[in-house]
Amino acid sequence: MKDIELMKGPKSEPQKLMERILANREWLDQNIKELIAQYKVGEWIAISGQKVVAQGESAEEVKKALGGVLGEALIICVPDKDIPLPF
Amino acid sequence: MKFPTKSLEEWIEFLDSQGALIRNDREVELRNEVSSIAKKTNQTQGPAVLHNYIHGYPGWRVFHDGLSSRERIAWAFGRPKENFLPNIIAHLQKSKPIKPTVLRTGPCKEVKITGDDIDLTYMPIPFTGELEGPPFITAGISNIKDPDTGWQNTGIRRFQLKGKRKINNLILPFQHEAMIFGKYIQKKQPAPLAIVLGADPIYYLASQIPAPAQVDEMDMWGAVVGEPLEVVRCETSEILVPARAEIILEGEMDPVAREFEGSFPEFSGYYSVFRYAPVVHIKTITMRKRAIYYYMYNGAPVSEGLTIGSMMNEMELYRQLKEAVPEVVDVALLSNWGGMTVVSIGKAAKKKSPGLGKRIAFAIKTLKASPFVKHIVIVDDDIDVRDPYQVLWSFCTRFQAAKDITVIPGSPGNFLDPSEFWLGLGPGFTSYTIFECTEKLPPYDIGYRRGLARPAADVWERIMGEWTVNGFRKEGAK
Repeated sequence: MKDIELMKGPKSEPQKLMERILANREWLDQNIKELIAQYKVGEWIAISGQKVVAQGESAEEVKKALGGVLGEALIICVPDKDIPLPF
Repeated sequence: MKFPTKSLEEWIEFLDSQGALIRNDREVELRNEVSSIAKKTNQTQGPAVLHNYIHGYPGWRVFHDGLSSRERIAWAFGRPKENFLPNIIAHLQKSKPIKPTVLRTGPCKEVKITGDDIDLTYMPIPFTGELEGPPFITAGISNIKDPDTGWQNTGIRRFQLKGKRKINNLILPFQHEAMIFGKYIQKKQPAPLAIVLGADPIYYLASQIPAPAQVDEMDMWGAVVGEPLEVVRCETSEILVPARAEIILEGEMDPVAREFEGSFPEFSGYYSVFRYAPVVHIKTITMRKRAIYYYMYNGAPVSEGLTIGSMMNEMELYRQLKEAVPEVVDVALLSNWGGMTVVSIGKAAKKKSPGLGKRIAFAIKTLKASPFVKHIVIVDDDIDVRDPYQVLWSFCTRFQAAKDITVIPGSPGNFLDPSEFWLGLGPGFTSYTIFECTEKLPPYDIGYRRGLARPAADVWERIMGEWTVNGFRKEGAK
């Protein structure tokens, strides 16, 4: 088999998708306090393009609002403001 | 049997030679497909899988389920599956830990990536749960060195991908890694960390041996094998890693920064709560040119991570319980880190020692190895404690809830158990429940006096001695 450099080169679509997922996650981490204040504990939200794009009472409802495809979106259940700090 | 296998590649070849490997040449997706295949593999105790084509990750291969059965774990240890626990315990008790041999270089350093060239999005990290985002590295072995004593702690951890050069490392207060990281926090220094992704099976298993503080798990590799593990020094720290490993992520764990970690598919089967976890900045990656990414399925049992953890925990629990109550015959953690623990006892011993079942049940909660035991099922020694059908049969025929159940609320339990209201930070609490599923002693044994209906023991033994999976008799048997 031809030598392929596994960790460099032009990125494929799935690898670019992972970059967008990471960007959404970074946005979530930075805005978690605001999201907790804005949404109810236990409510489900979807984050895509670094903003909230859907909300609902269940993960299924939110996924449906996304057209049934997650893509780069993160679907999370809004946590309580007391997030554990184990260490 | 080939023992020891000293690299993941050797282990894969060995599994193939045993008919315990599927080489999958059909392209798979990282999202949902790899985890679906792994889940089914675990449920059916199927062969390990090497995926040769990953959609969007050219050249990468993903391997899983090398250690998802007791038989494979016994193979990795070079021991027979039968009587595995007493056998491996006796071996480890007479063996001494052996320090590893440090080589100048090894296959894990064929490729070196540093600085801005590091980009973890090139790596094929499967998503286990549909709502996991971003995914977790699930078969990473974390290595950290005590800054005062040089003790190197090694253990399987979960790491959530958080950036091209950043991951989160969930450390829990009762882990040795936490004890060591605490020293770096006090010194206000970043903790060097090396994460091994893909290595020989003994390295994975040795990392789960409950070694006491200040004992390097790598030395336990030597105790298992009888020769030293060959290691190399990391590029950015004094941490030692197996020379034949697939991928090494070298990084620094920030003593102050914490990030929001989760949701992870816990062994309970449910997603974890979000927690704040330490942040690891990756400084260097060394790897093989054609590295294989090792993935472990997580979630509801059965899973590879749970099988490894349960079996290693079972080993320690058996050793400690046998010391406390010698009448114990066998011990199995059937589900969720001891959530369902089955212990068998000899019928003769039970007659001599009324209340033996309760003695065991109370003793088990005092042992260091059993913080997570939730339901304990006591069975007679004619029951195979690892066969859920036999345990259920015993539950149906030797147990009466009105007499044979004891519930002790508020007992130490597993804080990850979602059936407990309180998901706090401490050890957790549970209703510890004792199910005594043994034949009753006289005069309450009327239902059992007629005896078990079964073929003659000598004939059964002979037939079983000749039994094979695919036919009635072994080749050459008369």
